[in-house]
Amino acid sequence: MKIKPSKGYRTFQVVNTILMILVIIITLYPFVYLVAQSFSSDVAVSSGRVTVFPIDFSLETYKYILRDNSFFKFYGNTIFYSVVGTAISVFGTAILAYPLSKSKLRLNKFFTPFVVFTMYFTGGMIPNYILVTQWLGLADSIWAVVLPGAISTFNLLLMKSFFTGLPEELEEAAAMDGMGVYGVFVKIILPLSKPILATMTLFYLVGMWNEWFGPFLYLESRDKWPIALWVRQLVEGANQVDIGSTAEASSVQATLKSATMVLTSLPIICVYPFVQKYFVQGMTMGAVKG
Amino acid sequence: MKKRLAALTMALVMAGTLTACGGGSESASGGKGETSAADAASSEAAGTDAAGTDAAENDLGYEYGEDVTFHSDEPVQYTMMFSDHENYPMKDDWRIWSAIEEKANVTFKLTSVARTDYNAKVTAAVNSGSAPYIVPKIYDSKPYEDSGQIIAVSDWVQYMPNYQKQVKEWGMEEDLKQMLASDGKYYRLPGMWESVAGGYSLIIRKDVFEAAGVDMSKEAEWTWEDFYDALKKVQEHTGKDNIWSDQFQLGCAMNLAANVYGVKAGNSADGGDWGLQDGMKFDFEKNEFYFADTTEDYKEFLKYFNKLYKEGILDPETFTQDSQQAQAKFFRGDSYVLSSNYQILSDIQSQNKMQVEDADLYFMTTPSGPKGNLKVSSAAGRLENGIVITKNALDDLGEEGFIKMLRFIDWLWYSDEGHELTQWGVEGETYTKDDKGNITLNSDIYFNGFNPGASKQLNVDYGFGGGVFAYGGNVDIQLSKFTDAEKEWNERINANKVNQQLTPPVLADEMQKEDLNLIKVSLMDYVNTAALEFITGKRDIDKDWDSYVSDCESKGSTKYTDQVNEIFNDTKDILGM
Repeated sequence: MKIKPSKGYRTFQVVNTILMILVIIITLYPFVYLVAQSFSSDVAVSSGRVTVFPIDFSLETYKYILRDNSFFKFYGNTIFYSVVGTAISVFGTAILAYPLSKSKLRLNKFFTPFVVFTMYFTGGMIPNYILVTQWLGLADSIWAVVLPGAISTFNLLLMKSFFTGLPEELEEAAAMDGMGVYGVFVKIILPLSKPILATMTLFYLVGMWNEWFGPFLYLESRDKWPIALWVRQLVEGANQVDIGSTAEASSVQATLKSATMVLTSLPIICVYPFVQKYFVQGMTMGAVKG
Repeated sequence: MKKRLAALTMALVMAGTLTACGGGSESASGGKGETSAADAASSEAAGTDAAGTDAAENDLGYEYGEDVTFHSDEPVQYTMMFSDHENYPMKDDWRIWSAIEEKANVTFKLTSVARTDYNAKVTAAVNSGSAPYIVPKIYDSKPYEDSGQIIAVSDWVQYMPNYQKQVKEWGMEEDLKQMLASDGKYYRLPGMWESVAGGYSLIIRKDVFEAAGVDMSKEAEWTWEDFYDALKKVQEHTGKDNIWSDQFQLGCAMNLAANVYGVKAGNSADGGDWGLQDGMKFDFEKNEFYFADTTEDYKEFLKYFNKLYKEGILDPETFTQDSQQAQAKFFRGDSYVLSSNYQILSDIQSQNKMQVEDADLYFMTTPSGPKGNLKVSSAAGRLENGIVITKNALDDLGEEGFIKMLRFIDWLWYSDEGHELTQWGVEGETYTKDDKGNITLNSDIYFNGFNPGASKQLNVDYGFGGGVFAYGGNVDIQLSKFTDAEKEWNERINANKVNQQLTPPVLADEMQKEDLNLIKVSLMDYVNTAALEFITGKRDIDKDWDSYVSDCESKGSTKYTDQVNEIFNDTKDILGM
């Protein structure tokens, strides 16, 4: 027998659907607007006529961007930093989270607060700068982009609680069969942790892809810039007015800004659907067993 | 157990911090030692003739001097920060780099930083002591002065013949006092203009104004009230409201008016502090500072904008919209007034942004007010952004090498040859010069309104005419940058308006600065918010005025003024007032 949903429930479903559609429109609109702008003529954009569809459709802006070598250079840098940085971050987070998830380890009680401490307190910009550029000698090197902040405490705790949730018996059984600590970690734990690893990868990848502050602070040559830094300069430049007799306002066209933003956010948006399955799983598992 | 662990962690961190502090103060005191050595060196050198190439100085390994091209026998490289502008992103193969190398045998090792975050990076680099030798494009060196990491350049300028020549010939002594720190020295080599020009004003739609029957011939003598009458006519003629929808949240326009009403105003999220600052004006008769934003002048000033707002001339959205929205209205022909500088106007014209047929844009001069028909350009008068030199240069290069670098800077940024090179490029290659010295840019190169539609751009493709190098200079170089229309605008200003008197600087030391700042931040925030409330009628100018004045009082306006005057009186001898 089929149970008929109650009237109240049906009303809820209708209202809910309408609300969700509204939310979708609100979150989607900025992207649509950006895409529409990037395919319009600059005159149409600067007079505020573009809303949903491109006006005076033109591919000029894209042609202009793709003609410029530095765009590809920045893009290549971003891909490189993202891949290397994400690999380092995920690996680092996993090998630190694993021991911290074992509450019986002796120094655990000492290290956990030590790690958590960094979530609430930082050294501040200038001490960090001195540490990275002078003490570690990483100025203008790619390591300055990928190493500082490689392990995010929040992600670490997420991963730690995921590990805590894995059945202890599995490890014990493997140990009985003669497997060492690293064997257990690599052959038992990691294969079981695909959801959380995928989540971490996504988190770090997006973070690295959008990262501009670290590169801005530590890099010196323009050749090493990631694309996010360039996008920031384009977008912020329009909001910044120098007050002085030689003030040079930004005259970068609005279409150029939006096309650059479309090109930069496209790849990362494409990654999302593929990781989403793991993403939800990883997030909730970490949350419940926390 | 947990508590003990936490305590241990805290103790470790604190110990770490303390060690870091120790290191810092050590290097700071080292810095002071260096400075005093420099003092000694400079006072020694002051007796000798610094300018010109003496025969004895020929074995220096480089040529320099007043109107002499700097040239080093050996190739040298200096480290430098570079403020990268998104309009013309830096390229390594720009002609400017090779041109400088050809003439001076000098190359740069650049730290390239987006101009949007330039100051943050300079702060990090300077305070950590790892900044490049040359840090250009600094508008205010005060944040770095107390770090001990930058050189008091005033101790060294006697080694810079072209700089000295500009100071002497253009009478810059009074202007330079604007930059003094509490120790009576200055820390920035400023760009210097022989005469003031440029700045912000209002673009209006001449076609609409004339159609409304406004007589534009007397525009340069208009007061703000005359401008109101003109706007009123336009409003009646077009039958439209909100004909003035401004960008910069009115901050720019408020500053333009504040100057001639004898008050301080204009601070917007979109553009920053246009002129509000700390509300201090200087009374040249009484020789003291006073708080301008509680005076009757200020009341008049607010009443003016309130009138525009009440009568529907000023668009209410002005206070919330960003520049793009304001410009869009202007381009579409919904509004007829826009505050701007000449570069923005050139961009609008060269990129054909106006959507209205036969729109005739006219760049007004800034209207006059109760305090006269004054030139309203940047607050710093004839000084421009400038160069800060870090202690690293002196440490690494030694005194001789340091002086050599100064002389290179002197040539590139302060000689006529340097100005021409950095602005227009290489003669015969990017520009030509006739017998009278008039400069003509090659017709296939665009620059700031010159040669619209040309295939190449002087700043984008060659690196010349950029903000890091090309500023300041004599009247000739200044005028050479102007198109005929911009020249005409400047002539209109010069023929009708007079220079403002320069306000003396307040030479507060580090502690005093902090004290003043504590009052200033909340006080001026309140003044600015109240200004917008008065203009938009949320508060009534007549009824709520007294409570506004007493609020300012309780936020420390008088205390602030007293402190400023006290500092001013204590430092009068440094200023020679």
